[in-house]
Amino acid sequence: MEDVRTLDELSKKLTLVLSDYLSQVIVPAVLRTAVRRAVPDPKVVTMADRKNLLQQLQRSVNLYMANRTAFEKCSQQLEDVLLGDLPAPRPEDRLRTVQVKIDADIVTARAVVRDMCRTEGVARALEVTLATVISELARNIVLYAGSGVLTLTVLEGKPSVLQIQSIDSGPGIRDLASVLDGSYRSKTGMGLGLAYVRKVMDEVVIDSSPGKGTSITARKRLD
Amino acid sequence: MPGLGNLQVVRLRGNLLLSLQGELSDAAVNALKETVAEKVSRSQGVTGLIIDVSGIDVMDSYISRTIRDLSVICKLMGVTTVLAGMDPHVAMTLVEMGLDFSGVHTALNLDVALDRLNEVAARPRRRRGQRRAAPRAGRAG
Repeated sequence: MEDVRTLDELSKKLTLVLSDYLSQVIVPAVLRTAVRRAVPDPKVVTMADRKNLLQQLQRSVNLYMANRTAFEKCSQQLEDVLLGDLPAPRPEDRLRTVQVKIDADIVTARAVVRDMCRTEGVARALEVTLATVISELARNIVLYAGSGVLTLTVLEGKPSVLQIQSIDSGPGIRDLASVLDGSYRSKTGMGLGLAYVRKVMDEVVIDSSPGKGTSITARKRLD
Repeated sequence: MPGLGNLQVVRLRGNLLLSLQGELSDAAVNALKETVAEKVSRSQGVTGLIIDVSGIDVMDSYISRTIRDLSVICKLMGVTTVLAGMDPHVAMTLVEMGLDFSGVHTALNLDVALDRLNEVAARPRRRRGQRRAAPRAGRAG
């Protein structure tokens, strides 16, 4: 998806915002660094580039500004400039799958859920919660099942609902009850992951038996 | 995942400052624990470690446990750890998760973290040589 606005135009708007918060001396440098890192091809600024650019700028601004309130405000304005005219989510944005096998896939899974939250316009508090949830589910797959698949679906509705499905063919959960109430302590994790998922999601269905793998379906309203 | 490519430990007034940024993979956060513990043990005259977590967007059970472990490890080596600048949403997540962070010092930002460490360093034992004076009492604001 290409953007109609050029990098030049974007830069001008961003400079305006940044100048309100940072010293004039460092604004060009901050912007240049962020652009260099986030936009591989200055001729085409993709939606992903914009999101990266936003992250880079927020980090820099965070570094230079001690005042939290001002930072939040600046952060919001940057977001408005960069993501303000996001189009409505396309069908392919509402169904994503992540193959989970290694450590790095956990990071990918978090990135995917974040991405979906951005497209759906989900509040940051919920975004952090959902990223944590997916992180726990993905880690369980990596640690206990070896490999599996996470499927994320946004179900249409008012409000819309995010459904996260985790399916693996690992050894299954032997003592589900103690895992869920948080009293179970594993060697590698803390046994808090799944209990946390159950606590913060609206609806969690766990189907697991020894030797048959585990399927977890969790839903959360996006409001 | 580049892992620890961006790990920076800076020395600041008898303390080490570690700034965590961006997405941390499990391997990265684990390596971080070991690297930092090594660094702390090799640094002469260091009494405090500040971990700036303001750049961290998600702390799940593994990451938060590893960071807590690191602070306990440092404590065993006689170095006080302060977590600084935790994102409010991340803090809420940790509370919901029910992870016990009671033994870990925390501070709203780097300024407060340094003050906190100065207090701790000034309190128990005085070192020989010229140590910096404890922060002035009755700071305004």
